[in-house]
Amino acid sequence: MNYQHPKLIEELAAQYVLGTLRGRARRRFERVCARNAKALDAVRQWEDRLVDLLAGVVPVAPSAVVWDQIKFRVRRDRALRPKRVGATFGNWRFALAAGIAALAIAFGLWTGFGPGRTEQIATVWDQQTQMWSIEATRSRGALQVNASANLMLDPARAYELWALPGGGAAPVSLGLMPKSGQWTLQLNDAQRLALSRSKQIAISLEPPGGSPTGAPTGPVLFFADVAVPG
Amino acid sequence: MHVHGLMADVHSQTLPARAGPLPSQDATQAEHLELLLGRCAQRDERALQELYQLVSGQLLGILMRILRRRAVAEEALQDVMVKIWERADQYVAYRGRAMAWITAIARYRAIDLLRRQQAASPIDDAPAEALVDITAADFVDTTTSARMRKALHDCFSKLTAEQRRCLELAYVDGYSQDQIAGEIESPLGTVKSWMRRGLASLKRCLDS
Repeated sequence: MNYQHPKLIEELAAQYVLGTLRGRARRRFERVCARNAKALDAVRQWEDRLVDLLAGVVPVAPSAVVWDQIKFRVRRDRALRPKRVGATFGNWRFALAAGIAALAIAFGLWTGFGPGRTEQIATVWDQQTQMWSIEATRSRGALQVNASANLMLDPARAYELWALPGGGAAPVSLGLMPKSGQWTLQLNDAQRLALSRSKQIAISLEPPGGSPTGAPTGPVLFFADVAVPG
Repeated sequence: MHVHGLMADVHSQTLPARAGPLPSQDATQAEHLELLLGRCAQRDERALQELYQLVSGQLLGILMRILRRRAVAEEALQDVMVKIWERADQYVAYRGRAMAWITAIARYRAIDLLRRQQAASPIDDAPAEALVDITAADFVDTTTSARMRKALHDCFSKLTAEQRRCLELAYVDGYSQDQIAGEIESPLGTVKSWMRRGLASLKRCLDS
């Protein structure tokens, strides 16, 4: 097919915009548009010519959840976009791909907190919005996680907390984050060790119930520094 | 690859500046949409929210006409708004009206989804209401040019009834040519001929 022929280009552009150019022909014409400014311009002109045909379509008010989901997706994408975040996530993937999954298990390395004390070890932010605060208490061997009020979170997914021990070691799941209110994450020895070695924690988006593999499977949405115990 | 994604990429190519001013009142509305797209390109979430408030009802109406199912259409609306947010910086290279750009993203997304949806189950009967009311108020408020709208209305009314029906079913309802032939009970070849001639007449009339 001679895509340089103006009449053919014009006809395909009209059919493309109309929606009657389908399947492989549609894909093929998209590729033509990608390298042929005249074809692209013909598409643009047909889009502009026909748009007012939609005037008779009755507007429909979307459900409130639609905007919530859009806002969520936009913020999630922004959270993933910064270079620092991407680089860190890349390192995870590299570590996992390299099979560096072994984690030494030891006792008594959880440091810093006196008996009965609860100390804030991390605060998770999304831009200017505080999402969660995380406190730890040695005596309970657990984290107390508090969700900020009115968090905009994906209701169909889980938010999983990970310790990032560094040094090429794999992230270690510390449990799922609450979407509202607060709950306690009981830590086993491996988790406590991993956290004691972590300068940062991360939160990834996972299927309901958390990562099915033991490693982050969804996008990493948030990072937070772990405070040095006082 | 999603159609709207590719066409948004395609639209990012550098093109000459938009030709010709628009009438003043419409131009103000068009400029407002363009301003919001510009702010979206600067990652201003409030601009996206304002844009959403302005166009989401129309877009969902358009998506539902093609996709027929509210849940699918609302999912598509999310995709469209996220795509607009991601590609807002590319609107500057687009020579058409802002609403034409936005609507194209929505329709291409719907057409893309329609193929999968139709593979799963047949579509419903064609909606009965007429679609030639090009002066409908809500749409008028956010699209741009009254002059262009009137021109389309005048030129469209010069087409034969069969040509108009075929073009409406394709453009507004997302029908394939086969489906149109079934809907209006005419041979496929005849439908193709009506559509080709209708488009050619429309172009001649609008460009004159």
